[in-house]
Amino acid sequence: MDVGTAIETCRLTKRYGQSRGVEDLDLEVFAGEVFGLIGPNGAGKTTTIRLLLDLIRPTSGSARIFGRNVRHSNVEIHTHTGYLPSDIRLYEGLTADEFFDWLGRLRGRHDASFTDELIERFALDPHRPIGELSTGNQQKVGLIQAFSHRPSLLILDEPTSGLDPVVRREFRSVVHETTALGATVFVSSHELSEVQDVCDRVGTVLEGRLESVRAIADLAELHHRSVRLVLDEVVQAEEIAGLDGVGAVQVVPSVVGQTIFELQVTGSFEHLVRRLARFRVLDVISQPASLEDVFLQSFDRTGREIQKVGQ
Amino acid sequence: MDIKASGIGTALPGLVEQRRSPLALTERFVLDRWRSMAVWAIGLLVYTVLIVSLFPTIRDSAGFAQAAEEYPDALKEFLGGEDAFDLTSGTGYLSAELFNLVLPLLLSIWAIGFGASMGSEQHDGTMDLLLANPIRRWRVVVEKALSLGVTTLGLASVPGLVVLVANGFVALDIDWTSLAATVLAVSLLVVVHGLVALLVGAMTGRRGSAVGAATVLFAAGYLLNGLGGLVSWLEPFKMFSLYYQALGQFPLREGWQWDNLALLLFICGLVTVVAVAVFERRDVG
Repeated sequence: MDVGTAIETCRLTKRYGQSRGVEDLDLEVFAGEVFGLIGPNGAGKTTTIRLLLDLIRPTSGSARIFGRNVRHSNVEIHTHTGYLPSDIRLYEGLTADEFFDWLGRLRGRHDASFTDELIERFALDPHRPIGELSTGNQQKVGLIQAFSHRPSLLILDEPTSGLDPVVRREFRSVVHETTALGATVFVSSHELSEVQDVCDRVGTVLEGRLESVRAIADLAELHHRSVRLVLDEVVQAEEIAGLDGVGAVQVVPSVVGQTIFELQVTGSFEHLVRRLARFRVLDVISQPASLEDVFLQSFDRTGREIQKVGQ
Repeated sequence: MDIKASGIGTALPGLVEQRRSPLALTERFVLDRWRSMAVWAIGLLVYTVLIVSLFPTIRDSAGFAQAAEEYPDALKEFLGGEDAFDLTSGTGYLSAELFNLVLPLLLSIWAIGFGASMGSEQHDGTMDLLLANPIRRWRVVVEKALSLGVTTLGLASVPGLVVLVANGFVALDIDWTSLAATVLAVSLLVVVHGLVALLVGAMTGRRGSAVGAATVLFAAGYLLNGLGGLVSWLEPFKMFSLYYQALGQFPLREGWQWDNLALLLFICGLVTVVAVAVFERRDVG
């Protein structure tokens, strides 16, 4: 048994009648890392997480957490696991305070001062009934309960959905602090940008299959920018194309006397910006490449071209 | 195998281990309903007080007794027999106006709704959060069944206590042990149906199916008991009616019917065991 492995799945498969859940998933999450499972909605992220928590049972294959079968050792595993469901639903009559206390009695583990600290940091009102809280505040309750018993593994399904930017930043710090203490974090998201700041590695799922697992540093796509240039003169594409880091220059029809380019920039903007200094630049729009740009621009297994989303 | 050795229990600082409360789920299931329980209790209290305080008037008015006498025999038989329809006696009056239909009907709404939450909690997603905790699935079923039983018995004893107190004031002439037997019989009857809702809820994850199945079962049992007294060929099948087992033999007058109560209790246990077996295998959601 490998102590260095937190989660390990072996040909994990879940089928729902005709529709696919996940298929032959081989996943390894190392102890102490933050692993992101990324994919569009319906790709199988939540199914994977629910299999890991033994909420649903695999059609075939198996999953182990800390070397133990998730099915047979679920109580031991859950003692040390914090879970945030996607679209969390809570017992609405309780206040957050009462809810955390009750969970402590249910779990037999509770870190009251850490819980209070999180309530403070996430700016949650712990004295109002959960049913009266907004979706974002209920999400905070869900996050805090996942951390409140100091689990050594956190499984968080779409943790940042519904959170405002300030709370997202706080969430990232909490994740970093927790992993610094030795915990492992497994997050899912449909947006790479949501979790790229916390993840050490990301796996991408598409249509129930694990497409790739890469260290975040290796994701060259992360440094991709989609850029739109508007120049107040007629410029040939060759002036821009061929520069270091500039690729796929397209000329977009524009009004007479102007030129619009759409292009991809990888890494530094240095060469592009130097060259642009020669022209009358009206506008530069730079956007991070979206998850769809990064992952869906490819071909799926059947060779069918996947529709490019959001263009 | 030691948990620490497997790497699960990386001890993070600040953690306080505390005693695991063995009835934490029951606490949740019951306390989440205390408001509606209070409303139910008040409703049952008011209804029973009203019914009991009307008794002297009805007993002493020739008109009512006569009207009841003139009901068609078939109707009287269906509604529990000649004895149960004697509005001039405390036992007959309370059977007809409270224990034979109104109380089982009202409490079955409570119990079936409670049991069906086994389905709605899966559908809503609160079950996910429960089961991600270090508890075994059977505990959810057993504690839900326990909470269902305790709350139902609590509510059923409200009218029981009112009758007990009123007994002296309005000369109901009720034997308190028979009263206790009746309250228990009504409770067990509706708890069985609540547990059936729990079973179907555990099986399907749907509230609607759970309520539907249990309601149909209740209606069938009531009809079978009533018609069993009217249609001779149905008579032998009467014993299959849960309603007959609980209330068909006039416990308010006859007192404890241990074998019937034991049978109902056994069915409660059986349904719970089946629900555990079903839920252990289920894909929750």
